[in-house]
Amino acid sequence: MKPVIFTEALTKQYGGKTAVNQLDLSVPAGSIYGFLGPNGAGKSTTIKLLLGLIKPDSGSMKLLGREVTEKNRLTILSQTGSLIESPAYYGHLSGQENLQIICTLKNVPETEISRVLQIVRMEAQKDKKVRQYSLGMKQRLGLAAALIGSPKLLLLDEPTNGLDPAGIHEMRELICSLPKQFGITVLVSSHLLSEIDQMATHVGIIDKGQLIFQDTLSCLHEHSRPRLLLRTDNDKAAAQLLKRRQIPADLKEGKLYLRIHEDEAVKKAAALLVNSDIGILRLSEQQISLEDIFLNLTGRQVSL
Amino acid sequence: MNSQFTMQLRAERQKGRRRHLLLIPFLFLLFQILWAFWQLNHASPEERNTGYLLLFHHLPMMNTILLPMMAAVIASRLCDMEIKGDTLKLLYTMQKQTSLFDCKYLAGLKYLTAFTLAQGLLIVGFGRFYHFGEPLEWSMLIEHLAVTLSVSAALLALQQTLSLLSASQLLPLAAGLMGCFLGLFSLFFPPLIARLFIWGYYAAFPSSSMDWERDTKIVHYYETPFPAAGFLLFLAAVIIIYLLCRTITARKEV
Amino acid sequence: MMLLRCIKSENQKLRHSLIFPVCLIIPVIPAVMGTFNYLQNAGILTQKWYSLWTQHTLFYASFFYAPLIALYCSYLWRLEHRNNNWNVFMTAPVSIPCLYLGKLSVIFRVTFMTQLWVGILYVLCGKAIGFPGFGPIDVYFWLFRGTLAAAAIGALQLFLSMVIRSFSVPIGIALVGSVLGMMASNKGLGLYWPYSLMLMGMNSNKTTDALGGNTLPFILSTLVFFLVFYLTAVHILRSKDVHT
Repeated sequence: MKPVIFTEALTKQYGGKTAVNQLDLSVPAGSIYGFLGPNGAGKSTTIKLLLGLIKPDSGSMKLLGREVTEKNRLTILSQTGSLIESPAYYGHLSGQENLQIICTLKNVPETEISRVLQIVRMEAQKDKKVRQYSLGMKQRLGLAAALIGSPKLLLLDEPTNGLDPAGIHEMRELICSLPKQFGITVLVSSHLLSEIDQMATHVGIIDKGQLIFQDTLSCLHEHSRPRLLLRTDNDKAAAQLLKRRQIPADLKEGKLYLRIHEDEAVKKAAALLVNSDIGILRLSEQQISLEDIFLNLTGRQVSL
Repeated sequence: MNSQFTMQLRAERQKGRRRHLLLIPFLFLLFQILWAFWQLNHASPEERNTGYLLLFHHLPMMNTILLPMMAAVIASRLCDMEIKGDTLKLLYTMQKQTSLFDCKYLAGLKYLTAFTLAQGLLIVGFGRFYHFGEPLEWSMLIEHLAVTLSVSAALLALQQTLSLLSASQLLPLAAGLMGCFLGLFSLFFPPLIARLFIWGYYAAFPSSSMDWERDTKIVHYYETPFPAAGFLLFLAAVIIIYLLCRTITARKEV
Repeated sequence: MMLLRCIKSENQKLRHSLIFPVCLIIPVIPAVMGTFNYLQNAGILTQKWYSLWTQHTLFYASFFYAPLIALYCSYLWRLEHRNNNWNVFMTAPVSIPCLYLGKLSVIFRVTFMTQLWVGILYVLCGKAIGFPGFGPIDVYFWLFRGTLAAAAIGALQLFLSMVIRSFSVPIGIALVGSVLGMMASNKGLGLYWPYSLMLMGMNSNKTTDALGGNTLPFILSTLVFFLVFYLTAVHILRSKDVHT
């Protein structure tokens, strides 16, 4: 199947600083694509580029099978819903009235309003002025606006911003249900690995404007297979010995890790050490966190 | 307390960075310079002889048309950053509402003062440039500037109150526009009625007046005594207006 | 069709706004004060309906008509300048000229209402001070011409308020521009300065037609200014990055 979003060497510079650098994005149809990266990595810029809000310096983009050009702008936009940065709204109007404007512009009947309000569970607050909404309510109204007209593609920029834990949970459930229920492809950005881990089927990781990983979530998890922590009475000697026998092991920050998983291999390694008069004190399994994966990929510590 | 207020004033100055607020009075002044050139180039030699009187007569009218709007623009520019950024509720946890009002006011008054002083320079400068016959009476210049600044100061208080209370800024600017209108019309009203409109006070304390002969179309400017007592009364009114505005703003909850 | 949708959405945005009260209240000032001034000077002002017209519209057309339109324009753009609405505005599946024309049409409608109200007030005041009839037909033509001039000023101010993200500064520019416009039209340069068009169209400083019945250059000037500002604005919307 053709990807719904496909970019080649997409680049955007702001006054000499490269915000998005040679990005090759590929978002398969029907996926929930988690777009992951620390703050300021270029996530919002990328989403704005995809929507034509800002113009790329070089590279090409295809959305829903169409080249992003002035000519295709309207066709693409009419099948796309988006929620960018903080929620957008007219404060002096009620939630219902805000959605009416979206309906008018998207040329869809106003019956859509009750449908999307139900999806985001905002029916009760629809007549209140949006100025008086809480941040979470504004965010949900923004999502409702994005859902109007049943778009084929949804671009959500940090949609859980400002939501309380219950709201985050709800938003997550909602996003997860969209591909199955409505056949929508969703690109959702976040700076939280755990969040993407719970929603996405595919993951793209961006750092300093560059895509450093892109594949399925399960592939990302391949990187996070458990490893074995080994403690001996002489870690240094043990590491040298293992290396000599070509058993994959690392000595990092004074801790010895075995990069082997099969029972047989573990048995062999242990026997080797014991026979060489190195005493095994502990042998325990350790889960790699997604933070560690990120660290492995970027080679630097980032606050996520 | 004093040093705290100084710090708050400094914060106000820091907020003004990159707002290019000075451009506003500069634009208005630039226009007045243009206008003065135009006016003086069209003046007869006799009129130019009494050039200072001519300026003291016409500038108040120009000020009436322009300055209420300038005060509205400056106040709105200063207050709207708080409205847009939704910062009032943050600020009120750090400083008293009255104190913010004072700081904002002084920040705005700075630009009005700069404008007024520049207008003073404009008058002196044009006098030199066109070699006005009659010498400049410094007391008249000071009176003119004092009136201009004090009326602007009162209007700034009004505009700032509206700008801080109005989320959309539509109201304060509409009020500024209305003020210009009322002030301009009031110049042509009998004094008793004209005094009802504060926007017209720019021309309420004239130190120069004009005769116009209908048949010969000769204009003659002459000096009039400055109504000092009336002006002092007006100054008292300005202070009362300021305090009223400050109280109203402080009573509003955010 | 797309344009109609844009116009409708702009109208929806104006609900609960103070823009209509403003457009009702502001013209009352020149009407009431102009009439009062007329009565004060009834001795010198001898041309009845024509004299009342100059009293009503001299200050309005010379100084305040453009800032009033500027006020409408600033309000309309402020809606988008706040709360990230640029993002939604520019991702709506409608063409950019339509987006801009949608806003322009609202400006024209509000301006038209303002002008209509100015006309109604003029007749009401004339009737109130006991003039016979409903005023000369010329005056209605001038009123119409003044409304046409709004096409140039509306396009200009909408452009300014879009680019200058301040509510008040474009209004200040409109006022200064208008006063300059009065000077320009006195110099006979009115057709080359957009802010002069209101004054000349409304014919508010003379009781005879300032354009001497020669309306064509006036319309041409209005059209040129309209096109220049409209095309510039659309070009900027098309080519510049959106920032919220």
